[in-house]
Amino acid sequence: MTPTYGYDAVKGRHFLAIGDPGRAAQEITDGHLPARVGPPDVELSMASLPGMLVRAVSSRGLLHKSRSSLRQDAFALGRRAVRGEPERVIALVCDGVGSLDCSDCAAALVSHRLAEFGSYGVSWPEAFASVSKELYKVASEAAEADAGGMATTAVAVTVSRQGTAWLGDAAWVGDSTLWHLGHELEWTLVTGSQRQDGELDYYSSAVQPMPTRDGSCTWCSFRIDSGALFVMTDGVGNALLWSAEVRATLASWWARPPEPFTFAAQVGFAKKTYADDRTVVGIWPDGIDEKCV
Amino acid sequence: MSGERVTERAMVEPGQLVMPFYLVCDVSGSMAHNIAELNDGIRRLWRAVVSEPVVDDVSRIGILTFSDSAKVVLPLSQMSWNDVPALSAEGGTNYGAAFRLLAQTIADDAACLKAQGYKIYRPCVFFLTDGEPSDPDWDRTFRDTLTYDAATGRGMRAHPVFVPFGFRNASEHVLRRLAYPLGKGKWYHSKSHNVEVALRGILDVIMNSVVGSGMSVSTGQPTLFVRGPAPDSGISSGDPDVWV
Repeated sequence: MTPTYGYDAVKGRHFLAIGDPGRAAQEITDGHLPARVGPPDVELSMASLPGMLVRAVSSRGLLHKSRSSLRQDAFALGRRAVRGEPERVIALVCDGVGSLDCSDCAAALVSHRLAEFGSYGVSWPEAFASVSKELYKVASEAAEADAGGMATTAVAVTVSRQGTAWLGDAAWVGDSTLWHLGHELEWTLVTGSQRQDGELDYYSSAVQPMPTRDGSCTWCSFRIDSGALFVMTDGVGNALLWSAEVRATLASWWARPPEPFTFAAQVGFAKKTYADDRTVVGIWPDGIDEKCV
Repeated sequence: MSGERVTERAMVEPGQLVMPFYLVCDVSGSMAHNIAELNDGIRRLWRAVVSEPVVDDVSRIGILTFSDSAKVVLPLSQMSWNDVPALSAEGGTNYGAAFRLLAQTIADDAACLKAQGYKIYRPCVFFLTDGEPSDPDWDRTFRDTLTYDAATGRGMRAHPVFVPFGFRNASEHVLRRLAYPLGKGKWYHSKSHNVEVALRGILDVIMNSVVGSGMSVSTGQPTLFVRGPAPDSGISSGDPDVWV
């Protein structure tokens, strides 16, 4: 099945769909502005570093639109340049816990603070411990003021380009993930192992968010040859994990860096039952990489 | 029904999320004077789900009835695909017949959805009854068909969350025994003598639970929310009895 452009005659707009878009993508309107001032519906960044091209998008999900609530995903980008070493990209992606009203604040705080720590060269375990403590303090103060609860997942990546290889470190809390798209257009999960829930009776979506009790995170170092890297929240990650159609479509779209606004539209693809916020940071080799075709 | 919807139904899309809900309705003879209110309540549930596209996309709802025997009157499906069936009253109150058919239906539906690549959440059963069971071994049948003993491996490992609702002559003791499992299941008992009011309160809880659970799909951590009764509804509720 090939991706299609759906058309909503009532709203007079086109949207990208992968398979069945579902009723929500076709019927939910843009909705009112949220009661609380917060992040824009769609956030877009782009950057070019030695050997690397970066595109980052965060997009508000369908139900947040219909409920006039804020986008709770966030991303942050940074760089670390040390004389005599390859320049590194710092990419942070956070997914605020939807059941807590102020999780957009948690996602924004954690993504920005971790990106700052990363750009100073602080190790990810140390940075996560410090930011978890800071988030706990902010969340406690907000709870005392009856301002609403907050929590977030986070995945942090530091990566540089060495020849045709990606060399870096990743750390995470919760189910936001780092993926590699290889030159054969195959997707591989870099952070942790792909959950094999085929033997379980039912799917369960429980995750452990920040702030964590002990400030810990899971982390790994990686060296991957060629291809491109994608840091993302589960709004895209789950679809990638579970749908061969999504894997094939996104691989064909993202084998090479798309034009930034096209990338934003692609990240917001419609697919039935996938109504969550979406955030993806894509990192591609800049220039000709003979293995990435 | 539009041709587009028929096409949609025929499409199999691996990776889609499904939250299954089963509504199991007592249609014994004692319900004869209130079957219209029950049908109205089910139609309100239908409208509530269909008016929320996100909920309609992710939820699947099946309706079973029971009296002397049990039957599936609406196979598990997306609400907007179907009109709701009109229920009619008949016969006795055989809980066991409902439990056996429900367990088989859940197993068959789960196997069918999994084979098509859907990601299924644990089903939730809303069990409505206005009387006491007429079958003496109802609790053994319930335990054997719809609960699971991890220590012995006996029962239904893929058991649903079971949420019983009782009114009129339903026994709170029985409802407490049916709520399952501990920590997820809840029982509800309406003490209102006005059956119309009781049914409206009960179906409001069901409607809010289905819509609230379906809405949680947008959070990335979809969760079953079994809502509490409205404060002025005259409905008491509680956690399951601990099975010994």
